[in-house]
Amino acid sequence: MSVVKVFYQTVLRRPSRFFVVVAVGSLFFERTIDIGIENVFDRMNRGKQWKDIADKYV
Amino acid sequence: MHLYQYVPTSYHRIIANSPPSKKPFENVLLRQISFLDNLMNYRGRNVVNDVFTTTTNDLPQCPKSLINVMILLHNIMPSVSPLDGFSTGLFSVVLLFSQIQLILFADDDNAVTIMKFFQAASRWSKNHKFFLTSFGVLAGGGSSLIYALEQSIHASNDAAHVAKQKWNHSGWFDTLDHASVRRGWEVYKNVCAACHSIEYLAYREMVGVCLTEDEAKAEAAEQLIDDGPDETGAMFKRPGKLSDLLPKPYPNEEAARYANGGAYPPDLTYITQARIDGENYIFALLTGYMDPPAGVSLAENQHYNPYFPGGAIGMAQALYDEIIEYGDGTPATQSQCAKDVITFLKWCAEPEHDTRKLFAMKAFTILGVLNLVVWYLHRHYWSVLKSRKILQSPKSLFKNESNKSLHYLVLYNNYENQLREH
Repeated sequence: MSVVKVFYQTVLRRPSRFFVVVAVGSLFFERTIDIGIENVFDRMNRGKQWKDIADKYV
Repeated sequence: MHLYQYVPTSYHRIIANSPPSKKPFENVLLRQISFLDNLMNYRGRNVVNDVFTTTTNDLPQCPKSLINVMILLHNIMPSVSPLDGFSTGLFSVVLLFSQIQLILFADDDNAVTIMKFFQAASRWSKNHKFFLTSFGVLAGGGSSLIYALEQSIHASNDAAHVAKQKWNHSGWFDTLDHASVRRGWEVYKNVCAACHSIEYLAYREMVGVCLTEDEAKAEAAEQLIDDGPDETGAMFKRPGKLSDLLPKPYPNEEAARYANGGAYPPDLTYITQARIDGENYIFALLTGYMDPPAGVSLAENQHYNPYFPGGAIGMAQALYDEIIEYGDGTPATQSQCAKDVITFLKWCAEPEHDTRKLFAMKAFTILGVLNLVVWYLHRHYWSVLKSRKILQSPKSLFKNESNKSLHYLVLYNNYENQLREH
C-alpha cells in the first residue's frame, strides 16, 4: 500500500477520525509554524533586536 | 431519457462508490451531474437556478426565450495547459455576468444536459443597479480626485527632492535596529527635547525596546511631572513614574510659538508617518542646512533648508558632529545622530513595527500552505468541466425566426460543419 492509500484509509476515510486529526494537528501545526518562523526571523535580524543587546545594559 | 431525476441528491457518493457503468453514456451523465452539483453550490452562490436533462428530441420543449446564447460541450480527453486556471476562472466570471443563459452538455449519443443560468445583472432590482452604479462612479471619481490632489501637491512643492536612504529596517521582514533606537533616544533627550514634544509616548513603552526597566525608571524620575489635585485642591509636582507620558517642553502651542519666533515645533510622536517620504525627508532636513543662495533673503530667526517647502525654516540646524556623546561609544557624527534619532522616531510612530513584520512572515507562510490546498481543490472541482470542449454559437444565428430550426439542427449534427455551411 502506498503512503497516500494508508493516509486515506487511516485518516481521511472516516470523518470522525479526520476531524480529530484536524483538531489535534492544528495545535502542532501552529506551534511548529510559530517556533519555526520566529527562529528564522530572529536569524534574519540577528543583533538588531532588543533581546540581542539587552545583556549589555543589565 | 430523463436521467437527472433518477439520481439521488448525493451524487458524489454514487459516483465514488459505483463501479464504472458499462454504458459510457451513463458515466458521462453522472460526471456532468457531479459537475453541475459543484457549480450550483459554487462559493455558496446559486449560480445555476435550473438544471434538467433531456435528449435532443425534447429540445423544442425548452423555453425559447431563454435560448440566447448556448455553449455546447463535447466530451474530449482532458487537456492540461498552463492557461487552464486562468481560462476556467474567466469562464466562471463569464457565466455570472454575461449573456449566457444555457449550457448544453452533449455527447455522441445526442443526449443533452441543459443548465439554465440567470444573468446576474438582469435579476437585480432597479435600486440595486442604481446603488452599484452610483457606488462605482463615486469610488472611481473619489480615487481620481485624491490622485489629482496628490499630484497637485507635488507640483506645488518647490522643495528639493530627498534622497532615498538604505534604512536597515526597510525590508519586508527587517526589524528596527534597537541599538540605534537607544542612541536615537539619547539624541532626542539631549537635543530635540528642548523644543519638540513626544507627548503620546510613556516611559513604560521604552522598557524592553531601548531601555531596561531600571533605566526607564531613572529617566522618568529625573523629570518633574504635574499631578494633583491633592487634598487642598492644589496641583503639585512629583518625580515621574514609568506610567507617565514624556513631559512637554512647552505647556501649549502659544507658548511654543512665542518661544520660537512664531514657528511651532511639531510633536514628534508620529512625525515619520506625518511627512511624505517620512524617514528620508527628515534625514534630508536634519542634514541639509546650508547658507541661503544668492537672492534669497530670510527673516530674522529663519534658516535656509532646501528640503523644507519654501526654503525658510524656523528651526535652526540642530545636529552637528560630536554634539553629544553616545553611551555605547559610537562616533556621534551628524549623519549618525540623524539616522539614530529617525530610527527612534520610526519606533515612536510604529511601536508595533517588529511584531507586524514577524506576523507578516507567519501570514505569508500559512497563506502559502493554504494556497496549495486551494489550488488542489480548484483542480479537483473543475476537472470535470476541463475535460470538455467548449463551443459557443454566435447570438446572431438565432436572431430571426427562420433560423430556429437551425438552432436545433446544430445539436443533432456536427456543429462546426453547420457553421461553415451557413
